[in-house]
Amino acid sequence: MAETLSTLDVPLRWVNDNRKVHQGIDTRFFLFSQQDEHVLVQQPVKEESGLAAESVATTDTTPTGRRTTLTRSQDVRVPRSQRVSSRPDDRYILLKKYEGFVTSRGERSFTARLFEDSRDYPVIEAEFDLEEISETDRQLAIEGAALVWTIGYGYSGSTRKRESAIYLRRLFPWSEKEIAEARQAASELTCGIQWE
Amino acid sequence: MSAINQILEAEELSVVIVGSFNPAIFHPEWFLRQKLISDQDAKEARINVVSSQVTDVQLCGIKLVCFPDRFSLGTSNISHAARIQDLLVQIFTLLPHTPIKACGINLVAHFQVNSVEYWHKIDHTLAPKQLIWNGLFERPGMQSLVIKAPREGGFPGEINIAVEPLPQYPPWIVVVRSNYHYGLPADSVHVGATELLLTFLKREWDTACGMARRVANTILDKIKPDHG
Repeated sequence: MAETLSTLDVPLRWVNDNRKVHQGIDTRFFLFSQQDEHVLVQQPVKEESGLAAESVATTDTTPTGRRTTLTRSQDVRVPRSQRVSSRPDDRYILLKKYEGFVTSRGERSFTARLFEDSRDYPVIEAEFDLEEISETDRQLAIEGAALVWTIGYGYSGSTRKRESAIYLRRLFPWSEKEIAEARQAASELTCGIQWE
Repeated sequence: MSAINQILEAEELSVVIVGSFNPAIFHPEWFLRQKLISDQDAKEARINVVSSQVTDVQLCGIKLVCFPDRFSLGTSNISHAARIQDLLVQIFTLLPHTPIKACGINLVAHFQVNSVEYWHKIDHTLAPKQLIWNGLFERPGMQSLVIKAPREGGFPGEINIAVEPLPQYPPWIVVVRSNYHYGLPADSVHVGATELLLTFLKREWDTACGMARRVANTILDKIKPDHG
């Protein structure tokens, strides 16, 4: 079915005009109601002196009195329409997602402990070939490293394909404050257990 | 997992941060030099525009759009969700003095329903036409229903939900959009804003990312097809 042309709004605005689209501190959804928008940006364009008479400076600086014309280029800011889209162009259906961490690493493979969410018990252990992850990620697959394993359907045009992806997380080390808070939470949890 | 997941058609995730930004920074080269992406990721990055007024680039399957007053990372491949969370934490750890006013974690979930009758039933149950609309117009239909709910707790804000029957049929699609909005305290905009943002992103991420699915599951669980 052909998309209906929208007459709701004119999708063209100055890039620094926040009145219409960016109302207050709204963080909803995507940036624009149409997801595609043309914004007018002031783009600097070099304009040579021959085209801009006011930018030409003429001086008489040589001992011989020969006239020297200094040619100076001037930055002119010209409005230019720029298409900006907040519409992502992939399609993917998530079937399963596991989070976990690496428990050991060998020469060609590594083992990870994985769970679907915090209520998932018992957790599963799985062994992966290092070849399953990209060359740059292999150095991250060390004991204790956090990872996410997703299984889903990706699309190439009308072709659906099953995908399995392992992503080694790029997390900054825990801060002292976070460690203290985690210890406190664990302690409260332990004390809260009613042993029969 | 419930049967509902069998008809999940697509999911999109975007995080919108409102504050003051320098769009020109966010060139793939900056990400490479800060070791946030690999050489390969930088080579494969797609640059639409990088300027002081607007930046629009795609890297690692993630779309980055930045204006002077807002920054957004988004993807329609939900398997990149963890990567988005990591990138946000990395970016704002590297830019700790960025003034930030608000952050919204947004999910869009597209669900396919099995018949036009069920599609209309969801529409009519969420927005009844009998009392008002049928008397005013012929064949009125719900285009979007928006619900706002305040959120208390450590990161007070609001949850905005929109339910929209997609007008590109068939297949019969219901779209649920969730916005998990956190407005930072006014006195933190210039001091401590990024620290608050990072804590929000770490602690509320899972809840925020599950919001659209939770709402959709509830709608499709409470409103059953007539023949089902």
